Amino acid sequence: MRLRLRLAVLLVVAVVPFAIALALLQGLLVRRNVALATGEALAARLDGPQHDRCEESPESWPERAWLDGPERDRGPNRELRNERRRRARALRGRGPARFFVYDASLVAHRSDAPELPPRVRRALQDGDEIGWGMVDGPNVHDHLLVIARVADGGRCAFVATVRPREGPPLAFTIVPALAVSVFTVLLAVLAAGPLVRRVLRLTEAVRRARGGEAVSIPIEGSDELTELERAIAADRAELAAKVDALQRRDAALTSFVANTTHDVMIPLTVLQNHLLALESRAEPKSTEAELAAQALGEAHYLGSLLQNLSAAAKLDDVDRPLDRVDMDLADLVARVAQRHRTLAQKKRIALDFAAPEHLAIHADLTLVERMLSNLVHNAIRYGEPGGHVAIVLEPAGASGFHLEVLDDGPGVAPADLARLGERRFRSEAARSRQPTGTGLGLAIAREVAERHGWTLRFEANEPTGLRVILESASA
Amino acid sequence: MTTRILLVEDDDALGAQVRDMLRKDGFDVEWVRDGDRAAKVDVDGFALVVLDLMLPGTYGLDLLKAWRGREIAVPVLVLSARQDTNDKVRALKLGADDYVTKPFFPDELLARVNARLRRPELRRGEGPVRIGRVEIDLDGRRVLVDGEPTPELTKVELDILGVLAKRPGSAISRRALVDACLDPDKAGSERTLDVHVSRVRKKLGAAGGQLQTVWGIGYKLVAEADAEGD
Repeated sequence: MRLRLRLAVLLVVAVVPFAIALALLQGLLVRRNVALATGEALAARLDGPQHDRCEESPESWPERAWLDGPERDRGPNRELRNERRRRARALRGRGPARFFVYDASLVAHRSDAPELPPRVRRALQDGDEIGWGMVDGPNVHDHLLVIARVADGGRCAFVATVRPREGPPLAFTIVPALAVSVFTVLLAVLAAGPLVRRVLRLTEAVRRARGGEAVSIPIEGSDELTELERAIAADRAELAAKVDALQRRDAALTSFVANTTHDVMIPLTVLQNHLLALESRAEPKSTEAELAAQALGEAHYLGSLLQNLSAAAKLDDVDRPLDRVDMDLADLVARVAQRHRTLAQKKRIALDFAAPEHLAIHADLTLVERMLSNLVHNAIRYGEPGGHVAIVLEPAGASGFHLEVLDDGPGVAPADLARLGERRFRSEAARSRQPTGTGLGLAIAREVAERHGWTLRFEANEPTGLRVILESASA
Repeated sequence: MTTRILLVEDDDALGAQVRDMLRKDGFDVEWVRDGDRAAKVDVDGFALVVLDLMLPGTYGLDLLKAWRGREIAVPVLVLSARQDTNDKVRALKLGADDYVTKPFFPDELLARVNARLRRPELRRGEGPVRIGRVEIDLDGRRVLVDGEPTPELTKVELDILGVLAKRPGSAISRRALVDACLDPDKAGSERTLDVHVSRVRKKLGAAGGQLQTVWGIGYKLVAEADAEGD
């Protein structure tokens, strides 16, 4: 509608003044022609005896005979006769004409003579033969005055005629102009209708296609708009093909990572168990036992890294909603603690947890387990022999929770605390194992917390170590 | 009669390891290597099923669905390896009782199996509770060590011991103990709690070592005092 509105406004602004100007110009030209014809007639008819009579008694001139004269003209020359008749008609005009005589200095001989418009007076004084202008009758400017020079001097130097203005009044000229304008505008707006509807259909199709819907771009007619429709359709087709190829590649990659992860987890479990057996058979505190324990840690790290890659792939798919289920966070804390107990024992780190019997939350089980595993694994991995790791889960508020993972390991420099788990570190972290304890695992922990609307903070533990605090929104 | 466990796992090495570790723990294990054969097994005769989800033949989740559809109530512990498809969530929804994520240590699997089969039942408010050398009679408001009554415990001290005795071996956080045992009007702090606990420990005398401090958390009451307690 806006396009049509603009078109209508543009047409109104352009056409209406133009039509009015044309109407006014037409009126002006008509008056000018009438004035010139009348002036010529006056000058031609006032030669010889008539002018003498005028000179004698300018107050009472003209006589009726002069006015009617040409009708009785029976001259031999037909052309001349016709010319005279034409002039007589021009003089009489359509309305009752009145005549006035002025002397050489443009002073009227009768008191009821109209005042000459200053422009006309100046033109005649400058030597013009004929002058004309509008003068007031009962209404403003409703009479046409034509004045002609009939002699170079004397009492009857100028003769003027005044008659009602010819032609329709101004309003009568403007109304048709306005009517034509309105008609033009209506026609244009109606004609623009199909065009506008095509643009609207095109817009709607593009918008729906952007929303992911499979929509074909409508191609109609054969004009400039059709070209636009074709261009958009071609563009969309190319884009769709690219997106499709990318999605297929992405799906293949995701599936590959998932299958690889799955395939690796089985031998990794076997490897861990072999290492455990190896370690239990080695002499306690021997080099062999140490090596087996270390290898066990590395195997666990490998499994954790693979699981984190899967989790990262899942988190990167921002459009994919979380797989939220009703779960028991207290049970998960116990499970994660249990899962890391063997590893902690091998490192001679005391791992303990405290949790209420149940704490129900609605969350993505896989991701939350990964987050908690990362926090605990991180604490064990960078802890010293003889150190401690503690998980404390407490209810907070009506349905919230407060969870802390504490350790007394080397901790993190205060300057780096705030940067732990920052998303932009993730890609670098995935490629390097940083001794400060930052890494892919913490970045995933932070992202999991963010996606659930929870807050994850890292603080320095007193006197040493790291304190990770996870709080639900309602805590 | 030994407890029978059905193990459904297609990987030879892992299956053998799981079978061996379960046998070592005293279970009678029957190992089936593919889904189609597992579908033909009479599951009702087993006390527990350890089920791998990625199986040749019938898929693990379909086995589970079929069993639950036939109203077979045998506990099922799922072995899950895939992170992306949320296999374990679907398994839990289909009626699995528990899951273990690969890679796992034997301890974790055994703990889960045992938790399903022999969960120790702790009843509350049913007479005295005995933990190691300590016997707590909450109704009679008295505590015995090796059968001998201890010096009388205050209400707060008895409450603390009561909360710890409800879940022996489990650490209870200082916050939880403060909330449960100290008077909120008297601005009970964690430091006040520590004072109360040290008094309880003193009154327990020879069994004082059973009330252990847990680093970073709070306290726990264990059946046997060991060298780890500090």
